[in-house]
Amino acid sequence: MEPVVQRGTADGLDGSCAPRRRAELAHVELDGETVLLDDAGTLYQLDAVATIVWRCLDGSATIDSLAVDLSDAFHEDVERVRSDVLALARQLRHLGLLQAW
Amino acid sequence: MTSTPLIGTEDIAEQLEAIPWAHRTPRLHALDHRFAVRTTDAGLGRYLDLLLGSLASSERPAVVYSILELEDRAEARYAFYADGTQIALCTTPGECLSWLLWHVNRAAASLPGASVRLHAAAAERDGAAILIPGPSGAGKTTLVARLLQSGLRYLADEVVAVESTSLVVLPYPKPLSVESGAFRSLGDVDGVEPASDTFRDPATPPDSVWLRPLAVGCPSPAALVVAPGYRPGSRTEVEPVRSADALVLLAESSFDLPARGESGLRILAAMAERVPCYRLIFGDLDAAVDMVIELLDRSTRSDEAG
Repeated sequence: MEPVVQRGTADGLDGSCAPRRRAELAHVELDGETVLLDDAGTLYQLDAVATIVWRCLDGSATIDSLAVDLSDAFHEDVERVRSDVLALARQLRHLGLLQAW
Repeated sequence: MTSTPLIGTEDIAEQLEAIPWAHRTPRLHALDHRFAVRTTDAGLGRYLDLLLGSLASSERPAVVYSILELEDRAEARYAFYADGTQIALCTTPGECLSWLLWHVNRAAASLPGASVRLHAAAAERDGAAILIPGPSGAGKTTLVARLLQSGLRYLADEVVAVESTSLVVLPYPKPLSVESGAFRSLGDVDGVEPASDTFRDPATPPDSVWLRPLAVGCPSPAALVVAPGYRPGSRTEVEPVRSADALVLLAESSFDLPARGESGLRILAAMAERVPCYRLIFGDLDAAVDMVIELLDRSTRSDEAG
């Protein structure tokens, strides 16, 4: 996934948003990866990094705060982590895996 | 023979009951689908007994299929019914047979039950089941037929049922249909027997053959998953599949996962975690079978070692 360096976009998703994953999605974790199943029977597979972010998307933390926590935990540059988390959130939203806001 | 009073009229089921059928099969079952077949064509009836004998059941049928010869239709010679509902008008008995097996397969794949249903073939050896999932054309039927010739016992082709809690693979030993190119590659047929092509469906490839399994396996725990990919001229290559990828592979082969939702996903996840899974690319059938048997040996040795 390519990091997207943008602040404030037409889709309304930025660092101040606190995305929440859709609770009704069927999901299973295996070997650190997540497989999701929606109502239409479409499958989605999240790799290990995306799984870590997915677990955090419960609506309680903004993307900015998630980026700080994750950069501390994995000793990565916070701006890079923020870009990656924002890009992932956009992708998940596009796929309909996040609750609308 | 009869005229065609039944199309578009009411009380079709009652009229079908009044017909003097030349042949009625024994009770049959395809997983949870209990059925029987009756026909006015005695020769077709005997052929159905030969072809479907491995599906014998002791339970009362939920559906009775009727294959009725017609005398006054310009194009169609047979009418095919499921209970009182006309499914198709056919020009040959082989075409009726294809419709019958399609309807039975669809019911076997979709009836709700305690087991998950996969688009796969399966065979068994010494109480260990091999699942062979994959889309049409991947080589499932040819591979399972060759495994039967190698001494394994037949469990299923097209629809595999796996019990939800035990991961035991249940038998659905329907006849196999292979094209003659694949059939020739099977060599001497020991584990399967070619049924007559008298009742071949003209809509199928002209050289397709029905094979009747001779040795049917018993319900057995899944011990190995092999996802085949036939590529003419290719070397035989096998690659282990990680659990998450194996789950996706199984889920993509599932007939009823959307209906089952998370519970179905968890059943397949349990299988992906517990059962070794491989992708197999092959161009030579004998080499592919040797590889599958070696993988099964490894899997059962690993189980025995605890």
